[in-house]
Amino acid sequence: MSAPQPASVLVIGGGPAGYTLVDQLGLRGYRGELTLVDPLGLPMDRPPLSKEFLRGAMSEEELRFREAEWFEERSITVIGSGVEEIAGVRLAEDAAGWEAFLLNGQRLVAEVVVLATGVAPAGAVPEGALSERVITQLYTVHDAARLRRALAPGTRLSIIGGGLVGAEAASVALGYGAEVTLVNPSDPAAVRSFGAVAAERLHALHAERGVRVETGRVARIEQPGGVGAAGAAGAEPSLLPVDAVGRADAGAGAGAGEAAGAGDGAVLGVGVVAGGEGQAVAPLRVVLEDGRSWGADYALYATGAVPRDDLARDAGAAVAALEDGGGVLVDASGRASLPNLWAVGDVARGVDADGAPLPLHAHWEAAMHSAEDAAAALMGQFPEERGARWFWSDRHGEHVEVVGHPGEVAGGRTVLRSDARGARGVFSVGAGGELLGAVTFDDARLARAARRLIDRGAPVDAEALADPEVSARDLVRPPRRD
Amino acid sequence: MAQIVDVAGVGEIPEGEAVVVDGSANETGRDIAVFHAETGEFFALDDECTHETASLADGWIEGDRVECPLHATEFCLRTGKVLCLPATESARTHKVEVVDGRVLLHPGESVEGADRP
Repeated sequence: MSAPQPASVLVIGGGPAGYTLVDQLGLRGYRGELTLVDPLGLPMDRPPLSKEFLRGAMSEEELRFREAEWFEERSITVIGSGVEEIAGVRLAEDAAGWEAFLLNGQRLVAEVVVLATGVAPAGAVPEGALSERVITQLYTVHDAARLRRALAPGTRLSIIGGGLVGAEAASVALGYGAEVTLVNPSDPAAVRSFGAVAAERLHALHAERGVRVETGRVARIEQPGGVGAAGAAGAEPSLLPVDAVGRADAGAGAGAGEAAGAGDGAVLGVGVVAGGEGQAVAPLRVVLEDGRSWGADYALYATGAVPRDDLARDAGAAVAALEDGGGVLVDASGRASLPNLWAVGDVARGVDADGAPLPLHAHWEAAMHSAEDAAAALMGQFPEERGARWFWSDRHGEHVEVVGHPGEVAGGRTVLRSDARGARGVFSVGAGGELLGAVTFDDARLARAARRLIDRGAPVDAEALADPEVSARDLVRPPRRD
Repeated sequence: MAQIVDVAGVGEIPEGEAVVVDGSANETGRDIAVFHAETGEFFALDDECTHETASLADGWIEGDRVECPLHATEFCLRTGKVLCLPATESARTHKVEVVDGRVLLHPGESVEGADRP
């Protein structure tokens, strides 16, 4: 059944998807040449960047999936140090393989190229003086380390975007004693990620725990004292079309592993106002479209992400339009539209039967699964069947898990489960009585039970779901009648 | 030989559940989770996930696997082998036997075929 193995595979990107791909190829018996390129070197996990790493409970070393020896033992070449970025990839003239060009002038040749470049912050990236105090997303260890250094008792941090990353960062920042303001265009935030009922509960937690929550659209961030401190990516407020940010959130956001859920279409702009206000003021001023404003020491933009699909775009492969959220269009195994070009993880975008891009679902497990499936296909093997999707988030001490498609559906109902500690789960039950999705709070077994119930597709016992006396296990395995 | 711990009666740990033998109550000094698998067998692993602080005893036990309650890494209960990310290190196993209806744990004695002896 197996097709011949490719003689050489070049993986571009060392997040969960890129790492999983090289790991899986090895486990599946790949014997060819294997190279992974990432500007940060050894592959690193991403979800902890807005959680354990930001909190100081995890080091940079601990973010790495494996030490250098692991790759050496498997004859996997990791190119990182000194490589700023891949300049481009090009289909070789005989179409038998690819050439990749690194900014340092190096040229790599491989039969197969797998793009695992993940996502980039949507919108403007501030430069110059403003970049010292404005952090855009938390996709790299550098971003997260900068924010971590900034967090201290009394630090005034404004977080723009109340999706998963913004919410996680807000709760971590509180732990440092920072004064946190979270602004999101809608209240609650992240309805598309959680459904309205769960989103409301989660958004309300911020205020309960001491975050100042504002609802509105940020027009710009000013730097009152920043005379001549120009160099933002642009002084125009709306650097990114509303639509693009909105779409980035459409599939629950972005970011290899739940780094997702931007605010619902925040217009973001990064501007510098020269001159200042002639008095001792906060280094930054966050200005909303409605004119309200407040001071801040630091700002975090957590307004969503877009797939880093430029390499594929420039090479001529089919990509989703930017206004549709972008992404390298791939088949179910990760094949792009050009021969021997593949994409996995957050940069990849599946298509439906009509070839239209599927909604983005840029979460950690999905990234890992897509890489497993691509590795299987590259080796001529069959992929595993996948069940209901899953992601998690941590905020204000609660471990939140989402399985399937949460949210309210026509003809269906929402089932709540609470116990003495409070809400444990919000279940979305479809018109046919089947479970479609669930959001659970600090209840791992409930999430896993829900996942299995969703996969079964059979009508569920809503009363049992709502009853905390019925254990998660018994939800999927009714008590035996002896 | 390690000191054997009498964990419980067979009927006291329902299938699909686990109990923790505290680090202070066994020679390894680490908490050990004793699982009653759906297969009816008993297995034991170090309770703390090899990835982060989470108790595998709180995980989801299915077949001969346990799924970590935090980030869903799966471990094989028989060998301790790690089966998926985010953990990359296998769990330590401990021998368990059932004698006269009692579940007996041999702390620190890894099972035959353990992935991380």
